[in-house]
Amino acid sequence: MEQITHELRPRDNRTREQLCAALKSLLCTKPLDQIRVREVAERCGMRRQSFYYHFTDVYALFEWSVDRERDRLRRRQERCFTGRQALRSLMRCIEEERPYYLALRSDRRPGQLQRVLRGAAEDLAGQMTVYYARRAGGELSQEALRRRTEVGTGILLALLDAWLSGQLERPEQLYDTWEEWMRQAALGEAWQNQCV
Amino acid sequence: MAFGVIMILEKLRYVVMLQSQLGPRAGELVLQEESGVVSGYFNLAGHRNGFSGSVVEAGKYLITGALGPAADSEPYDALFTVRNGRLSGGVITSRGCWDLSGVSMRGSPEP
Repeated sequence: MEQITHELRPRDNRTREQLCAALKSLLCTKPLDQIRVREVAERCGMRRQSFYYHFTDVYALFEWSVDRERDRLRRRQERCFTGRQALRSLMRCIEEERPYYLALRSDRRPGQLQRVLRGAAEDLAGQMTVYYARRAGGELSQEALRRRTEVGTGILLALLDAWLSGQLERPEQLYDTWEEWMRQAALGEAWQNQCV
Repeated sequence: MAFGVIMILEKLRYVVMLQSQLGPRAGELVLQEESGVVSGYFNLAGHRNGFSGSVVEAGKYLITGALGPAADSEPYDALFTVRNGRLSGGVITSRGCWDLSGVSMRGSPEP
């Protein structure tokens, strides 16, 4: 699954984007392990050999698509000011590529959906944890920050997963509850530290 | 024949840094002032968000607006002062008060 690395020209990048789009559309019809290089290349109107100039196999292309999607999610979050806006931005990104995300969710190899979403969810959970700790006048130890970020990431991933599968209509409402818990926990902790 | 006076309102531009809930966001603040009333916009994190407000006293402004994408913007009130080309103050949102700082893009001292 090693990806071929060489300096990318703009045209190469365009071709990779095309291959990525073809893979995404194929993923909506069948699982990754049933997709052949020939099919992906044909969808782009290119020969199989051209595919191998860019990727060693379909899995390498898939890895590339996951990296691209992760970057896209993170770049969108940089345009947000609040955690709620970031959550809504994530939801919009998913909505724009819903069939792809549903395919990731139902992939036989577990955790494919999380692989794409985890980076953005981790960033968001970490930033919110730091924000409320600082607001309450405290600094968290690296260990406390890591643990809380992990819990927050898990909650966000679960909310997005439930929303994507149609079990939850409005994850924003539960997100607000989580944010309020974090705010109160940070205040409670600051209060406790003062009393000790 | 009637003669009128054409007034050209000067736009004041500042390079600003906002400490938002998700970390620092850099950009610019553009404002213009006319008889105690101010209007302008923030250009932050790829969004251009307008505001309006008033001059509380010389060099001190109170503005109201909303930050972020139109469909999901965060309302705020902001209070800031400008002294010797330096801007400092806070943006008050429902999620807390965020520091706002900046410098004039003109390079010369402001009121």
